[in-house]
Amino acid sequence: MQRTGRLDVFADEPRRAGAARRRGLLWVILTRDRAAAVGAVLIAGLLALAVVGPWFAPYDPTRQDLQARRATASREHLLGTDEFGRDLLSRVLVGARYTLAASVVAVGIGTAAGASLGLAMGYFGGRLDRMATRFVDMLLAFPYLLLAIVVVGVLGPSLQNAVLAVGITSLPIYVRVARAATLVVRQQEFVAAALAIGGSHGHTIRRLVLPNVLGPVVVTATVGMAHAVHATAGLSFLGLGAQPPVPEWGAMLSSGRNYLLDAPHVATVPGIAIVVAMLGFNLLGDALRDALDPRMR
Amino acid sequence: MRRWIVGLVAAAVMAALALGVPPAAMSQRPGGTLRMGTGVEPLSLDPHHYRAGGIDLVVISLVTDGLVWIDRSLKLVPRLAESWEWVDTKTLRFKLRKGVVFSDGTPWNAEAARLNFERMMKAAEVQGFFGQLAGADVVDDATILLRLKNPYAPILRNLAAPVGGMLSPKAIREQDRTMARRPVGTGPFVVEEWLPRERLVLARNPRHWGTPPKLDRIQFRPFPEESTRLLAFHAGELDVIQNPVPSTVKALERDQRYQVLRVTQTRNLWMGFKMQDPLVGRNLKLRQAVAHAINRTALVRLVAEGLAIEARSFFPTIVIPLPPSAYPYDTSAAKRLLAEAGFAQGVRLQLRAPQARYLKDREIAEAIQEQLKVVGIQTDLKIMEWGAFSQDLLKHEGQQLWIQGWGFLTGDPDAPRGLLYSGGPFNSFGLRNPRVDSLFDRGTTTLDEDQRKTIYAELDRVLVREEAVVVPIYFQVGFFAITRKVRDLYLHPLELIDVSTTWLSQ
Repeated sequence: MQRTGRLDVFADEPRRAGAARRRGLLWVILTRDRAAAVGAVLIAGLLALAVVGPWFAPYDPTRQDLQARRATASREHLLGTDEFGRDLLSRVLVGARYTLAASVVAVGIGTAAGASLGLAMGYFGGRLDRMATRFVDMLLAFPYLLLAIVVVGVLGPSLQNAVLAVGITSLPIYVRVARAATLVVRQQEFVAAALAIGGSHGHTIRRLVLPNVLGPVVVTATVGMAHAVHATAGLSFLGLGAQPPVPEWGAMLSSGRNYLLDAPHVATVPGIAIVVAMLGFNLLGDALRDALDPRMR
Repeated sequence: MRRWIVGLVAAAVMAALALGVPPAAMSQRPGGTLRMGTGVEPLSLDPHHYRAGGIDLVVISLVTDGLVWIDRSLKLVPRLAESWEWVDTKTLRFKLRKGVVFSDGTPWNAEAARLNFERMMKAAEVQGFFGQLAGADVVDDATILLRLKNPYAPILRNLAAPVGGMLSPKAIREQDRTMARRPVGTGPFVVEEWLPRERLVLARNPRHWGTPPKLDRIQFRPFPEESTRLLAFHAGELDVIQNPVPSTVKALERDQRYQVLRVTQTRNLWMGFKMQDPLVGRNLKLRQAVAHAINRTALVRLVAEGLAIEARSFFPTIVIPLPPSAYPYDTSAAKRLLAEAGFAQGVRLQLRAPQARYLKDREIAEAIQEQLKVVGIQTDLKIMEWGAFSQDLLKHEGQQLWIQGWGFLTGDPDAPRGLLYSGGPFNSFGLRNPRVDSLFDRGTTTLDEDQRKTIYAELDRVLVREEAVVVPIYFQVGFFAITRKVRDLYLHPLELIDVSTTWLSQ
C-alpha cells in the first residue's frame, strides 16, 4: 500500500496536467470552431430528445389509425402520418431514444472490449499480440455490413442483436487505436520506472497506461457514434434490426420507401432525423479529434 | 372536280391507314425477350419436388406439360394426352399425343409417362396431389392405364396442375439431382440460364409439339422490394411486373404507357394457430378471442387498398361456393373470451409474417399486431424474408401465430390437404384432427359435386369456427402491370400466365 502511494506521486503529474490542458483546449475549440459548436448543439438536442422526447410526443407512437394513413402535415399531425396512420412526429421523438441508446451501447461494446484487448496486446506484446493482431486483421478484411449481417444471421433479427453486431464489427478499430497508443506509452520512462520499483502490471496499466490511451479512444468513439447510428439504421432498414412496431429510424425509413412516389414524407422524416444525428456526431467528433490530436496543437 | 376526287381518295386512304388496316409493321412480329420483374425467385423448378407456389409454378408450367391442362376458364383440356376416360371408379385410361419429344430429344410415350407416375408417387412434396396413385400400366406406346387406391375425384385436376408436369426419362436417369434447377420437359420454353438472385432466362423450345410461342425468351428478375421493382419498370428495364405496389395501381392505370391486368385468383391469406403450442393449441377460447379481434374489413379495404376480396371462409368462394364461417369483428367478445380463457391481464404471443410474398403481407401483420393489442394481446412480430420464413414454417417451437397463404393450384377444394391433414407435408399448423381428416377423405372419394359442396362447407366450419385453427383474411386478386409494348399476355386464375400468343410491338 505504501508503495502504491509513492507511485501515485509519479503517476498523477502527467495525467492531471494532460486532462486539464485537454479540457481547456476542448472549450477553446468549441467556442472558436463554429462547425464544432453546431455539432455540439445537435448532439445536445438529440440527447434532450432522447431524454424528454417521449413526454412531448403528442400520440402513442404505435397507435394506428388506418383511416388517416399517409396523411401529410396538418395541425393534428405536425409531420404527417405513416402508412398505418401513426403520428410521424411521435415516432421520430420516441425513436430518438432507440437510436441514441442503440448507438451508445454499440459503441460501448466496441470500446470496452476493443480497447481492453488492444491495451493488453500493446502492453504485454508477445504471442498474444501476434495472434490477436491476425484475428483483428481478419475482422478488418470483411466489409462491416457483411460481418454485421453474418452476426445477425446467426443470432436472429432484433434490435439487440443488431446493436451487438454493430459493436462487434466496430471492435477492430478500437483494438487498433488502443494498441497503437499503448505501444507509445509502454516505451515511456515513467512506465519503466513504475515497473522497476515493483509496481504490478495491473496497477501500472490502471494508473499510468490507461489514462494516456483513453484520449484517442474517446475521439474514435465519438466519430464511431455517427457510424453506429448509420449502421444500426442500416441493419433495421434491411429488416435485420428493430422489428415492428418499434419506431427505430432505419426501420421507419425502410417501410416508408414503398410510398416514395405518392407519400414521400413517410420516408423523408426519419431520413432527415438520421442525417441530423450523424451530422452532429461527425462534427463533434472532428472537433474533438482536432482538440486532442497532439499533431494539431 | 378532278382535284376534289383526288382529295377524297387521298383522304379515304389516310382514313383507312389511321383506322387500322394493319400495315406490315404492325403485324404480330415474332421474337424478342419479355422481361418480367417478380417478387421472389423460384426455390425449385422440379414439378414433383416443388417447394412453393407462385413464380415456381409459373416457370414449371412454361417448361413442362402435364397430361391435361386447365384453361383460363378453369376447364380441363387435353395437353400431353389427347383423350382420357374413366374405365371404372379407380382406373383412368389416357390416349397419349403422338410425335412429341422432350427438349433433350427423348421421345414422349407411355413408358415415359409411367416413369413420371412412379416419380410422383415417391416424391413427398406432391403426396397431396398424387398420394392416391397406386400404379400405372403401359398398354401400348400411346396408351397408359392409371390405377388409383380409392375413387379420387380431384385426380384429373391434380394431373393438370404444374406439379403434374412430365419430365424427360433421360433427364430423370442422368440428372435427377439437378432437376430443381434445370427441368427437362416438353413445354414451349426451356431453362437457358439461371443466375441466383439475378435472373432466370427461358428460351423458346425448338422441339415443342404445339404452336410455337412468338417470344424468343422470357427473363425473370427477382425484386423483393416493391418500390425497386416499380422503379425498374418505370425506367424501362422491365416489360411486365408482378404485383405492383397497391397504392400505385391507380396511378399505373391512369398512365397511358401502361396497362394493369387483373384476375381473381384461387389463393387465400390467413393467420394460423400452431396447434402443437401449449398456449394457443390447447386453448380454444384464446383462439376465438384472436379471431374476434381481427377487423378484416379494415385490413382489406385500408391496408390492402381494396385490391383483394374479403375472406369470410377459408376456402376461396371462386373454388367452391360456401356460406360465411369466419368470426365477426367484435372487440368486446374478444375481451370477454380472453378473460374466460384466463388472460384477463393480457397475454403475449409470437407472430411471424413473410415479406413480399403475398399482397401487403408485412403491412397486414403490422396492422394485426395493433388490432390484437387493442383487446389486450401483445405480439412479438418477426418479419422474415420468404426463403427463411418458409423453412421455418414446419417448426413449432416458440411459435404461435403466423401469416400464410394457400394456393388452390388446381382449382379443387382438396388442394389444402397437405396443409391440414394429420402428418401432411405442409402441415404448418401441426394439426391432428380426425374429423378434419375424415372430411378430407370423404371430399375426395365422393364424385357427386353437390355432395362435395356440403362436405367442404362442413370442413370449412370446423376449421374456421368450431376449432378456430385459422382466421381467414382475404382472397387474392392477381394483377400485373405491362407496358403498351406487350400484347396478348393473359393472367390465369391459377396464378399462372398465358404467354402462348404474347408478342412485343415496337
